[in-house]
Amino acid sequence: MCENTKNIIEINDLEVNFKIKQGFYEEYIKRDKKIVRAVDKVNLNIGKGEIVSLVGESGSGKTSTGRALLQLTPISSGNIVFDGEEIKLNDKEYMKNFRKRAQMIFQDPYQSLNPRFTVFDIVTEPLLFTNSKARIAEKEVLALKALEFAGLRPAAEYLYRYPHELSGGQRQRVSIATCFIMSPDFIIADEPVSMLDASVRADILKLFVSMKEQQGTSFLFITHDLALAWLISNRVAIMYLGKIMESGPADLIADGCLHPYSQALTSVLAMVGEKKKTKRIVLKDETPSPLKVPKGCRFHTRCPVSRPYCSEVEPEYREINPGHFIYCHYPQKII
Amino acid sequence: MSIRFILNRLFYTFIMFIFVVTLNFALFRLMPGDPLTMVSKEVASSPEGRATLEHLYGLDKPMFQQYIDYLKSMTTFDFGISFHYKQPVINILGDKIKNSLILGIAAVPLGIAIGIIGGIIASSRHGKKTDVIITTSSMIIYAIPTFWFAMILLMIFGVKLGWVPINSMVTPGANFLNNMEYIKDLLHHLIVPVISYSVAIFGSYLLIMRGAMIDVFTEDYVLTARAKGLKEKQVIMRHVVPNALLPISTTVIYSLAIIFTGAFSIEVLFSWPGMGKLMVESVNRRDYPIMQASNYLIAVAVILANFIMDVVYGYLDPRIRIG
Amino acid sequence: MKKILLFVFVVMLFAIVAGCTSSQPSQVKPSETPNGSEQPSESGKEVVTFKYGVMDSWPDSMNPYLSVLSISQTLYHDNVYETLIGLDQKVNMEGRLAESWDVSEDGLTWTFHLRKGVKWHDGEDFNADDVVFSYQVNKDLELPRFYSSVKDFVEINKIDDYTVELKTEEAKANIMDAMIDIVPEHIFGQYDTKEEMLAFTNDHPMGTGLFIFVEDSKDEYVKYKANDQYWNGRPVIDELIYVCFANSDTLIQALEKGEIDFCGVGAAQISYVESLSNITLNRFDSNAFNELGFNVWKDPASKGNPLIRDVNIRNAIAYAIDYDAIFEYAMGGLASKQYGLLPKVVGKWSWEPEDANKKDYNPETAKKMLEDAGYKDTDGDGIREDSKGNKLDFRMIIIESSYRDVSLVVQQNLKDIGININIEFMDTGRQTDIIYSQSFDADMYMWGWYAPYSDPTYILSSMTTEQIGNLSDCFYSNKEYDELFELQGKTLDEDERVKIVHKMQEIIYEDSPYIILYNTKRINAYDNTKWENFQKWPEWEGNLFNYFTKLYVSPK
Repeated sequence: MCENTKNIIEINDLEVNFKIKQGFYEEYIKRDKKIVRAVDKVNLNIGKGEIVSLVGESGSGKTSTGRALLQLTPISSGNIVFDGEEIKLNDKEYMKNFRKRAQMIFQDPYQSLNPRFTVFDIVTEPLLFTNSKARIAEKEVLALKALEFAGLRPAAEYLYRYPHELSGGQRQRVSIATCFIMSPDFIIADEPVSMLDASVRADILKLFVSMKEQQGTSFLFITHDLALAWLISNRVAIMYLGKIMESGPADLIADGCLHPYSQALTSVLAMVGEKKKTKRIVLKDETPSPLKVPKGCRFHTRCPVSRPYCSEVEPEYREINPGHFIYCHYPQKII
Repeated sequence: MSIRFILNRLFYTFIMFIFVVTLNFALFRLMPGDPLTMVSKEVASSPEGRATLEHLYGLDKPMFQQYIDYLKSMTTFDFGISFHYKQPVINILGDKIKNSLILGIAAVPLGIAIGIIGGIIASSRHGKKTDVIITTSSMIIYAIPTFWFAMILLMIFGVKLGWVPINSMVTPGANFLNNMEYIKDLLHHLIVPVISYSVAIFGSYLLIMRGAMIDVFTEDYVLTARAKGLKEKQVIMRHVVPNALLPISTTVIYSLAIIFTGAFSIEVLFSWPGMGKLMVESVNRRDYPIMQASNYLIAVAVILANFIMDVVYGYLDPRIRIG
Repeated sequence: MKKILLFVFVVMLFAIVAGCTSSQPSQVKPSETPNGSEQPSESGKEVVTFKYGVMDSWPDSMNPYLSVLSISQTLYHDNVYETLIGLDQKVNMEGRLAESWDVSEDGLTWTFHLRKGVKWHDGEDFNADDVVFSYQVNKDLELPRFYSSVKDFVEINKIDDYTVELKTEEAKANIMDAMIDIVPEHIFGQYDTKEEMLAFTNDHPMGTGLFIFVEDSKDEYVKYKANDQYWNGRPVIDELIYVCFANSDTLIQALEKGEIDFCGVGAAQISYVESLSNITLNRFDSNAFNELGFNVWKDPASKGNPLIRDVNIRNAIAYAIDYDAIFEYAMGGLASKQYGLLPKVVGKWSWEPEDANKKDYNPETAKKMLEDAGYKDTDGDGIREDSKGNKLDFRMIIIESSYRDVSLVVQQNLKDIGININIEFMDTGRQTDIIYSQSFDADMYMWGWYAPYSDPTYILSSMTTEQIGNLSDCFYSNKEYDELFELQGKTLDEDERVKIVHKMQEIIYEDSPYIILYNTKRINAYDNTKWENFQKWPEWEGNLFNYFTKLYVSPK
């Protein structure tokens, strides 16, 4: 039963580990089980009707986080609370309901649609579970509505096309329509526009915003592009090597982030209206392999202001201001 | 699907056909070993006897004339008289093809079915024990020589237990009171050959299907389907299998098309009077008419199969339809 | 797609159920023959069926005048048709459709007195019209199988309903060679031209023989039933079925299981069959022999190595070959020694040299012969040369599927005495091409013959000059031999003729255009718990499956 809570999603100490497949010798004789901690104790809340962006470079764990939320990747530890209730994996009825209310949009529009299905088949597939007795005419109506919303107009022309007949942007719209038809409460968008042309991106993102405004859908917007994130999000969380470095309201992160990593990221953004040239922070070295996470603060190897203490003790993820969380021993403005 | 697509395919099919048919004609003329000498060394062949035989089989006509006759016969299915059987080739072929078909239609779809279903099961449990067991055992079974495996079956079930007969299609010389008895006897004889045959072939289908399935499993739309809340079984049946069938459909159609050519090793083993055995024997005997006719039929079947494959593939995969 | 799978599964299920429930074929009731004559029904009595398992290429035609394969004789014609004169169990002439016969003083007229009361399977009477027709049509239409046998008859006359006269221009001693299958004139007579006859497939053969044709399923089986009206007495068994097998393992398995009653056994299966207590084996010399042939063609067109025409080399080779090794290792024990051209099974015609003259395995003798003839190994490479330095280096073409192992033994044997052999493996078709191609581009080869039991003419002719390019594959030419061949063809006194035939074999043995390597031993096997009264033919050592067995074999 849904309680009247503020948050649609609460992620508590989420851990997602992957075992590396090794050779027979390593695995059984040396017993050297290598584990990649893709998501290493992540805490994040997403409020109802909020768009939260999860930003990070490749390998930071953001995709894994998103998939774990929807139970598409197994969770190693921690729990997720959806609309006040903990997600019960084993309860079939619950999961059926959960799937209706939580959806996902994928990155690659060229792969995420089954090439043998028509647009109609794809968009109406979810209806098999909610409304399986609906006739084709009814399904058509719903599908047309969803396509219209997603910006494919005139929708009737698209209804019986095949994915290979559509452009990338149009396919993403189809994906969105497929989500929309369910009227979900929560959508995870995993790099939805990174494979689209720049001109199309804005349109797609606008769709997200209108879904949020019209239906109160919450979004977890996963991306590596901080500029995009800042455009549409209410809040932003920045991940690095499996942990959230800093999270807070979008404006705050854009202007007043305190984590060295966040500042490095924002320093390379071009800000509209900025006259002075901001100094760019260039991080030294490369991101370490997730198999060899540095001791202490995992960012310290690249941090421009790291101190000896950083390499020994891991910082805590704490709230330094209301709604502003940080993982750092010495948060400060660098530039 | 457009008419243009089909016509386009038909055109190339026709070209291939003419080429193959001419090659067929030339090849057998070029092979060393004169058939008449092979046949007539057995008998005190006089020059008269030889001339008779030559005339009978049309070998005394000029080469070009033989070619024209050959082309004509292709359309009328008049393949001439067999050197060995001294009977119209059609009669011989008709019989043998029927026999091969009986065996093939029972065994080949079965083998394909086992392979495909096995491939689906193995791939859905990819990496786990079930998959390893299925895949390894298929590969081992596939590697086992058919001959040996079938002999073992025959020894156990035919000789020791006496449940099945040892050879041939029906009990030789038996008079059947009615059709039911005949069919029962035929089925009785079919069991071990069909089992051997389908076991011999299912391995490759299984491995191909499994590979195709695993490829499809990694596609995003499968993930999407799961996210939509489809049960794993539905995901497999609606999304994965139809797409994985694409690469295997070509193999399947080809295999079905050449069923009538028989499987030589199975037929020899079980003394099944089919096309495979006939084709090999006719090569040994230099029985030109039969060799030509069977080659022609195979060519027709393969070309037809190709054509059907193109069309079916176009139906299955909307991406490759033209127009 | 799923529907197809379902259908297949259902069919399989049905097959398994059907199979398990019926482990024996249903009891067979005797039926009416398609050819018309009804057998009296034997209700209640079980039908005795004899099944002969054969592993050979299937016969060609059921028309005895068209078919050329010996297997057709065995499976088809021998059962349904007969000749005027046959061979008894001592391989001597005995009358079949002819009760008696005589030849005129000048040897040019043969008169046959036909058996009376013989009926064709359809009930018509057999008489001289049928005999005259049979001989005449082969001669007039030049039909492939028997033309050469009948072309010597200048007149074929009906004297009366049961007497026929055959006239020749020269005395013809090999009358047995002219024994052709007699066919019913009222059936074959409608085919006047060669084309018609050649197209006549004779799908329901009908003769006077001891079995009546029932049905034929090509490459599977052919079925006969006993002829109640047969003049020599009805065969004891009711049905005879020849069953075709494509591989020897299932053949033996079927014998063991009782699916067939009789079959031939190959070398590979001897030990297995011997272990079966219910099966009896019979080993016998056959009419098949195999030789090492030489290219002794004297024509300049021959591309053979001229050295091989030196008889000393050939005779040395005869001493150099380890025949026992061939019998044991190459043939698995299924071979025996043969010296002359004609195998022992043909009885009186067969000749063997005196012990002192036998060229048995003796490499020392072989080497000495070569030394004395001037072939020495002067350069120490193991190969002898003649005085001019030409090496004893020969090319041997071999049909791989038949003679591979034998050829390797011979190669090694010859290497031991200083002759180098280069073997080229091929198939029969190619070997035929090489030998008959007008240039004979090889020096030695191996091949085999089936000697007819009836008359030695066929085999003897293969060494005549006349047959070069035809039957002769060694291209031997010897005037004295040719003259003797002519002579024996006209010598009607059998004892005289035997002497001439022996002399001819002696000449061949001395000249060695062939070295006979071995006589192929054959093995029969049958189920001794079920059958008895098999007859050997020839009676001293021979095949258990023959005309007499067909008459007398009976169930236990």
